[in-house]
Amino acid sequence: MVNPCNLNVPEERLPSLPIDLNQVEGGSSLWADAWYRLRKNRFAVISLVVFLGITLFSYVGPFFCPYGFEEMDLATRAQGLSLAHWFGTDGLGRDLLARVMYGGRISIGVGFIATAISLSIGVVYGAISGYAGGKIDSVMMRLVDILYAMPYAIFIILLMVIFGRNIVLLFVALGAVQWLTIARIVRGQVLSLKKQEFVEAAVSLGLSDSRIILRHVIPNVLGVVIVYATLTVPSIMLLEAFLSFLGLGVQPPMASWGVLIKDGAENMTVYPWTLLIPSFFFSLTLFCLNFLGDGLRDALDPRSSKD
Amino acid sequence: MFKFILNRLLQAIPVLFIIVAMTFFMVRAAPGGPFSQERKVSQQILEKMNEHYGLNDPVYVQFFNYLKHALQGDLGYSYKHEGRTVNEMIAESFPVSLKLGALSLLFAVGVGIPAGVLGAVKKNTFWDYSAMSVALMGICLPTFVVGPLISLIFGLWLGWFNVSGWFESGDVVLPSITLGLAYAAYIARLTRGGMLDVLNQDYIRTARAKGLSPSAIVWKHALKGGLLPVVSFMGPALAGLISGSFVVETIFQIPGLGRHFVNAALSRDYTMVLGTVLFYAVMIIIANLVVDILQVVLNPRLKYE
Repeated sequence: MVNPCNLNVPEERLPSLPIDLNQVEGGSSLWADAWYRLRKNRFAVISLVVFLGITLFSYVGPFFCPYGFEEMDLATRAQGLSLAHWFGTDGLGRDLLARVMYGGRISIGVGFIATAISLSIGVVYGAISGYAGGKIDSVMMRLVDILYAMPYAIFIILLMVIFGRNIVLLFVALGAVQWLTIARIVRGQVLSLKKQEFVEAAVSLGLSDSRIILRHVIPNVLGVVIVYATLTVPSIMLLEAFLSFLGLGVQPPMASWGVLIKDGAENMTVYPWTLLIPSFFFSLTLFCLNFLGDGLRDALDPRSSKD
Repeated sequence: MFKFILNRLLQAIPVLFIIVAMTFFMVRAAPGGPFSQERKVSQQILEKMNEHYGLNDPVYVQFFNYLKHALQGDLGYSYKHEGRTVNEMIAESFPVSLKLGALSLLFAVGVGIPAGVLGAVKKNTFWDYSAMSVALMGICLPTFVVGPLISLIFGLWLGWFNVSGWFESGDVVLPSITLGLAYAAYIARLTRGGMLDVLNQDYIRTARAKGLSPSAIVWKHALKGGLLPVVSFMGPALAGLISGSFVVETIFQIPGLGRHFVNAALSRDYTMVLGTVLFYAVMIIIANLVVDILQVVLNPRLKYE
């Protein structure tokens, strides 16, 4: 049996793969292989499961929760953990379980949307720069260097202050500062890719530059991009929470985990659980995403070393 | 060496210019002027004040005026704190932030380097794994989670320190640990990686063959090379320390520049914001330069580029 993946995968393990490798074409073997390696990484799998659980909890949970996230009930102010309020209530009588779920929606949503924005900017920018080469490349990368030197946390604070604290702007601002690294990575990949035969073939077939970039170059850098994206999500969530903690991010009545941690920190002397519970969920999510990113890196690029 | 420094300083000029320009025009693009809040002032007074602060001039004139003054080291008056200059406020609060930052770095280096060396020397043992797991936790836990937590535990429940404030000498402990923890973790990981690289090299084998004691090999011969990744991490670390100081100074109510900046941003004190950003940018550029020079001092194989 000739198998496209048999270099790395022991024969007896093959039946457990999700795809029948005899039927897939050579091109998808990388993904099947990566999926196999990822599943062998126990930490990464646990992280993935826990993260999916938290996501489900945040997005589906509210439908089963009898309380609204901003529903105040002064009769049940600052109650500890109980059957009626699993996570207790805060100083205004709002159910903390509902708030944690709702905050999770915003935090996770911001993380993913802003990552998508930063990826689309970074991948296209890096691909153009690497593919064009020469003067265009050096000018474009010079710009990235200059932007790198900027204290971007300060700039986001500035943006939020000046243009009002609305959530759409927050998405864009967070996405806009995170594209630099991905642009650099993609450029490096493209530089080496464009010397390869299949790009030459595409050029000699007379395809347009934009088509070559979009259809032939970008799919080949996808692995690196996915790994980086998984690590960008937690860093954007961190930045969002950082802003919200300072009172510059998500504004009431909306809530994110950063807002909840801020509220909790203000009241921790009286009701410590309002600090501990959101902190726990936030940290756990960051842990999972970081582990998952590391696992994906090992899976998709087994040659790269860990540190 | 001299040429290298000069070159880097020249490169810093466009960066600084762009930072000032972006900040300035963003601030000017903001809806509402500095006097358009709270109490309504009469039209005449408003005119007079705009006149006084030069806000009636075209924006580019204002920009060049600001640039001219900034080059002379004059960052103007605060819009919110009457009669106080931005320079005064920075001069007053920056030493506090500097002290906090220095102590945090001291903590980070003091904990991170030994932990990293331990991890490398006792590779793949219990010590290695526990040091690196703690480090991973330090990296994943953000400042604004660690800060309130340790303030809750050590301040409120155990009562060892004050929950917040900046008065007694003991007040520096919790904020410095909060700010330094993530860096201690990064430094531990980087030290471990760097040391592992170095310990495999020939000159270490030579040192061993000469019969040097293991501690002399590790601390005298390997550490210098093993610390290279840590030194190059210091540049970006400073930028992180600055934004970390916003959070830590807010949590522990420390009257430093970070808290001033956040308050200025929240109250739209534009000159203060502008001045602080400029000040931070200069600090970061200088720090990066120092780091670059240090790297070459530690590793002569690198040529000044």
